[in-house]
Amino acid sequence: MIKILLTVMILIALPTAVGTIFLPLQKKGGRIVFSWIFGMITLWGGFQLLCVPMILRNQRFLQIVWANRILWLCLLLLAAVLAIFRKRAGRMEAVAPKEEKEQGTVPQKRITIGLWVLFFALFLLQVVCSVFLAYEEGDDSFYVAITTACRDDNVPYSIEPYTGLTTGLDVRHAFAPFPVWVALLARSAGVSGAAASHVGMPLLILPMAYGLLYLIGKKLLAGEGGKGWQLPLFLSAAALLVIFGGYSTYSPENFLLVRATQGKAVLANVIIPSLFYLLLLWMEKLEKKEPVPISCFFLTAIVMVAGCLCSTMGGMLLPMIYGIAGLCGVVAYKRWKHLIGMGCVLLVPFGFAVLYLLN
Amino acid sequence: MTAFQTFRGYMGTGLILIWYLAMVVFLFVTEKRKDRRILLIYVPFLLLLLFFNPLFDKLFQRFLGKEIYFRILWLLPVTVTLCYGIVRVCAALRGKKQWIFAGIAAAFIVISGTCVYSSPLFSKAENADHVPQEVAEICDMINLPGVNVMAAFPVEMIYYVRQYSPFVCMPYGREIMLNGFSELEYCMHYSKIDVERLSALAKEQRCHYVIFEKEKELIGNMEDYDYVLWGQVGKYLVYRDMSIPSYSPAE
Repeated sequence: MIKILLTVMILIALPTAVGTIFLPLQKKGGRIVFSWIFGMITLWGGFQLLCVPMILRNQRFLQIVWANRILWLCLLLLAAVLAIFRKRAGRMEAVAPKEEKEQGTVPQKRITIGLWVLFFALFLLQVVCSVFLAYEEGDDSFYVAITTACRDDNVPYSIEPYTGLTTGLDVRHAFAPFPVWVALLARSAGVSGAAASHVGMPLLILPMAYGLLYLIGKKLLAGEGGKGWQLPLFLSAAALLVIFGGYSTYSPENFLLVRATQGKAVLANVIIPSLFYLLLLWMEKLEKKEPVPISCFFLTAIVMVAGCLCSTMGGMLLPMIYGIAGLCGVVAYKRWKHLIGMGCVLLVPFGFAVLYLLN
Repeated sequence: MTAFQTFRGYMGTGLILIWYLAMVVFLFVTEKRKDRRILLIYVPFLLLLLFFNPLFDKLFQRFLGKEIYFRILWLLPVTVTLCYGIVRVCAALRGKKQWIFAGIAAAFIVISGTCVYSSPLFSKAENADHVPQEVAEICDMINLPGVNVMAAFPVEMIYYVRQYSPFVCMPYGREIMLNGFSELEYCMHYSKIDVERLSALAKEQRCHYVIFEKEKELIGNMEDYDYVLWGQVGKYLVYRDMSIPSYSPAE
């Protein structure tokens, strides 16, 4: 029971609380989902900045665990201070009033309910399958073995994961220590590394991926009259695409269902869509000629760092899409000053990419 | 592998690609908002131009490798564009037509894709760790508290051993699937096992345990080479080499 409570605290309460730091960016709709997802990404970003230097300095896993707990505490304090500050400044009132739901006809309401039921059925099917079905994935023998070794052995990246023999520090993989974060989750929740990887991770990543689709769908369909059936139709189609995403072993949908424990699946299904969502937020502000808060750039930078935690490719892919989309936005809306913010955002992943290529 | 081949491999049957392109064209014609046009139409177009650029392809593959070039395609918002397009088409239709279209779209997704769960690599999980129960039981049997043990496992188990226990080490791991079997693994792989040879190779690797199927025919007697039958798990026999003391391979 205590384990379950602890896991819920770490996976839901803590990130949701930390995510309130960036809550003013999400003025209406899905604020809790936004807070939870971007809170978790903030925790990942912080972990990456803390963990990589510690691994490179041959620090043991338990030291990383304690340093990360201090980071959690600091982020919680920051969130609390900002919440108090905002309340005093009355900025919480800036939250837009709840949208009035369109009163559809009775058949339309039934269709909307039916589509929500369909979506949740498809989503639950994926959750149940991820818990009760095992998949023979070769790469797990690398990543999960690192998690298990860290969880019980205190030596990140200094043991050859396939055989367990001692080796020199694997610097290349140490730049994307997502398995170490899974080990941290396993240790904090008091479960084995394999159980945290194969059961815990899909239970975290699937809701995050769909939460992001929910946010993206809500944002894209906001201007479409906001008819009730549109969002559940969007999500049901997405869930169907994920289940039938086996058209290629390389598709992000396939990675989501068979490799949720690996950082690359998190990159493809959580980090890249979260960057897409932030780009959507940013461009919407440009479109409406609203000022863009600095926190938007700051959160984008955190997403970039979290991408580096998931996969070394994160350090290349995210700047690539951000660069292309950002330049398009700057040119289309003639907001040249934003190039400075974009440049700052790209500094951290660029640094990780250079270090990775040098190794 | 060229960028075109990578793209074909990524898109599978190609039906999803057709579906995606149709939606991009639909949005190109109907989408009025500039921000959405940029993110759903122009950015993917520029990304594909970059992807098929031979110079970029060459540079990427040189610095990062050929195998991961497909990951650039993760940046295409295929799912979002398809789902948004389906909803927009439905919204543009009236009455029963919109639900007929939704049904056709769902059917097209099912036809153009492949159910991920139909893969033969899926099986019912035997425990919370999602490793075969036999692997878990063997590891529990040979684990000594706080001490690493070296064990030669049959090839079908090597993916799972280190996922389950960090204290069980192996003389070979998954790399043999990529680089070819080691001599010890070869020796264990045959239906007839030459015990003298197996013992020499296992001792050379300082294996405390060797595990193989009981179906295997043994040429020689394991007990003659310091082995005792430590136990049996399912169809597997676990032999302990009593001449090798417990120690940590890290030492």
